[in-house]
Amino acid sequence: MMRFFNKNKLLFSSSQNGSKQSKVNNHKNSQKIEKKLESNLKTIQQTFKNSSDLQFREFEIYNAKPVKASICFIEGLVNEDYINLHIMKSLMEPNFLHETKSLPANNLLTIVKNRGLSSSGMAEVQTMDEVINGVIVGETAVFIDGFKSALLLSTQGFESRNVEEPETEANVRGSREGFNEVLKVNTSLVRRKINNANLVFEDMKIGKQTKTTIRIGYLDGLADSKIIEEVKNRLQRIDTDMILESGYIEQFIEDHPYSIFPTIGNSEKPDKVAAKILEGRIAIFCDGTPFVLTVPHLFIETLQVPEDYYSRPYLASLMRLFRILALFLTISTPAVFISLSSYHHEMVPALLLTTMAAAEEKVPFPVFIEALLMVITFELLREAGVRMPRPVGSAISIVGALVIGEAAVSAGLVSAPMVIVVSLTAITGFVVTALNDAVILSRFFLLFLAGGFGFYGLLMGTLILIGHLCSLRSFGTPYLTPVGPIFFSEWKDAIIRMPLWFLKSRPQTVNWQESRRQGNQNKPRSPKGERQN
Amino acid sequence: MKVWIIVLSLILLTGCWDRRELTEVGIVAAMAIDMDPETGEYILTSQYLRPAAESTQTPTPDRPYLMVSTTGKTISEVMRKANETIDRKSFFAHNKVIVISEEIAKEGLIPVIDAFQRGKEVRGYVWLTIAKGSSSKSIIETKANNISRIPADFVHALIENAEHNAAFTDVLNYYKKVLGAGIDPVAGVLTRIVNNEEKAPPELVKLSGGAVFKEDKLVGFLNQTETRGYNWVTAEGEFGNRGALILPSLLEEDKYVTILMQELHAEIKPQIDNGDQPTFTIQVDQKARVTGQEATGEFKSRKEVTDYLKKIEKEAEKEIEKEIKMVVDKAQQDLESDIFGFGRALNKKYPKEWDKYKENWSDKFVEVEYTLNVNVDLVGSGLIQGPFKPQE
Repeated sequence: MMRFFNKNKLLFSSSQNGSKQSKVNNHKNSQKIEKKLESNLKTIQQTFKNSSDLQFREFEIYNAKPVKASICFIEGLVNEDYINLHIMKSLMEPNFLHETKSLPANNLLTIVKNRGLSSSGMAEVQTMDEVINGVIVGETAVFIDGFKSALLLSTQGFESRNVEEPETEANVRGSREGFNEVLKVNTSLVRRKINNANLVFEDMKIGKQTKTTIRIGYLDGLADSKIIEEVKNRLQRIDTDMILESGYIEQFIEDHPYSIFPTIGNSEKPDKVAAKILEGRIAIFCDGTPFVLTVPHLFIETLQVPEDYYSRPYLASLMRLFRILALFLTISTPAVFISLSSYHHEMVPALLLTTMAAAEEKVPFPVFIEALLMVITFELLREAGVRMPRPVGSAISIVGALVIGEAAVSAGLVSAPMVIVVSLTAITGFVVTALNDAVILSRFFLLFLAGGFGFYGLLMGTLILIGHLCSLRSFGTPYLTPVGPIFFSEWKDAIIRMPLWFLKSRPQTVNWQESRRQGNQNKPRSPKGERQN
Repeated sequence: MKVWIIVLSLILLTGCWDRRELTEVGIVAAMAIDMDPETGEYILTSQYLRPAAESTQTPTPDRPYLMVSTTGKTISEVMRKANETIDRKSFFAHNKVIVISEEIAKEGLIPVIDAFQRGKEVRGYVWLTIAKGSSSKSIIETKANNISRIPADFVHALIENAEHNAAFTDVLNYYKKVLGAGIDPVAGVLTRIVNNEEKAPPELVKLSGGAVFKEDKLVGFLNQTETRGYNWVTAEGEFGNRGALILPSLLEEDKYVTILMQELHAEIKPQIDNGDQPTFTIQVDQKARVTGQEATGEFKSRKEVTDYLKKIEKEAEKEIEKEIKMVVDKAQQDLESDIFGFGRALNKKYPKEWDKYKENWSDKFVEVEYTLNVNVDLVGSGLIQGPFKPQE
């Protein structure tokens, strides 16, 4: 666990202040701060309905005579050490008391602000509204009796997860950082990758009850301004009680809510999000989740990983081809097997057919039912593996191996080739996890078509899927770009990955403008005058 | 709503109609057709595979195949009839070989194989062979020098590995030659050899020679040498005519040189000379290499080696010419069947001349003149150049 100390706070207090202005708040309390301390504190208490996590600390500042003052914050959201050190101690220190004694009492607030508090993030506010909005996000309000304004200090400091290696996107080579649940940490991780003033973040508050901070990030001048505008429009249109995860946003702003294919990408990895921003995409950060959305999102992106760029191009290209193969295999292997063994025996070599028939001989179910059983069982196992409490983990792997494996075969319930088919489906499925939901659904879709019509059904199903994919768009970009509408210039970084020095232009299908990201001199070469061996 | 009902009916009310589980079909691997000597009806013997016997999990001790014979007046009928006595629906797409008895072949094959070619169940490239001297059923039943447990696989492999002393054809090519003008088919011949008791194995199936048809009727057989001659004229390409040829070594008496045939190009070139009589030139270009040399000897120079190879080439050309002449003469005089496609070659080059002869080509064929032009090219002598001479 980690607390955010001074440094983080300094960096983020300004943007936090910015956020206050950008979104409407629906506290009805837009009254001015009164002179009387007690009534101010009472108003706050009433606004929070005496909520027990609201804390007050009343004390006295010794001017010519003692002046009553109070701080107000929500426990857990603030760094209490910081409050003790930089607010309470500063104001109650003998030095300060001594100094202020001679100064005029009607200037006390300014004195406190200018000389008393050693906190960097500070604002003087006049309305109760601003005070409440500040307190609610972990700032501390300082009221002094007899003044019509209050001081808001950035004291946020709450418990959060460390920056850890993301569990969903593992890699061998490359940054091991992953986003966590804190918005400002997440944007800082990206900012650390792109040290450029053109990287712009803009805040919004969405959710009538939750008031979740949403922050869009893009590279000014590179991202298409129309797409930025469209993203903002779609975000502003959201009218809901709550945004608990970026998935809520995804479902409210995606282009094709009825499609099984995701038209908005997400990632837990700062390097991946930074790369996407550097290609002209727009990132949508959501407070409270490590998953950052990126738009526009193309189909081909689901078959790419950051490591493709970190490792040398040859194996990376081969792996991209394998991922495409894995996609086809995981969707269609059970369907192909059903078609072959229940409809098109003539397409299987005789020897293989005999082997298949021999395995099938003692199985009481039709191949279709067998395949359905096995595929469903595998999905159940997978779901159980994700949801189960960790201590019972070993149990599921033992039982799972029995269900999909030797025991099922020797019990005569499924044939051995079917076990291989399901295993192949499962293994290849894990290669394309980014498309997981679409893959599982289309696998069942093709399974049923193949069970009813054989290869004819499989072909029809594939045509329907491809036709559907061709009809999709993501924020203006056709989903299958650069294959759907053909852009040969993009193929160098789509199906294979050419060497980095070869990728001179940025992908023009994202921001719809031609631009170069590097010069011509990047290809490694031997020094002039020396002969290459 | 209406649309959805229609779509759902399309999906739910149709489909599955041609679904056949693997456990419902009986895979037929070979078919043998004999004639009942008393009634003249066809006897079809089908060899069904029994996958359970081949199972890796729990193999049964049974034979891996099952022989089912049915009798009837037409082939279509006997193919259906098998379903009366066997618990699996016959599935013919993996049929590898059809064996037909000599008696049936003599009466004509078209009525027999029509059922195979007309229906979609039996594929066009199933091997069509003639059982010589024995019932065709016994051919696909014989336990021979087999490594494969299924006789159909054994016969299939014999044909796949055939060398140039055996002819073979599949149903589709047989049809093409029977129906095409100016050419007659030659089918593969399977012979069952029963050895006496001392010799093992007691019985054997052998693929050798060729069965010559005139139109669709069997008119005679070619022996191995004649089949080789036939193959030199008709087999084409790199793997068309694999096989060894034995020639006298020329260095020592009773010692032989063996050359292995490689690429072969053969062509029949028709010519219309004066008096508009068609004559034919059979051009054969054969590449070969030396694979065996029994004689011992020593060559002093490279030139001697090449000269020697030239001589062997000449010998080979002579031998090939002799064999081709033998088979063409037999086809013209004894069988009167244009198995080489002289007529087809004429048709291709001189269609108008062909019109004159096509009505009675078989009469014309027996008297046409032909010349032979054989060219053997020894492309290598293996890893050893000349013969070796043992030193004292």
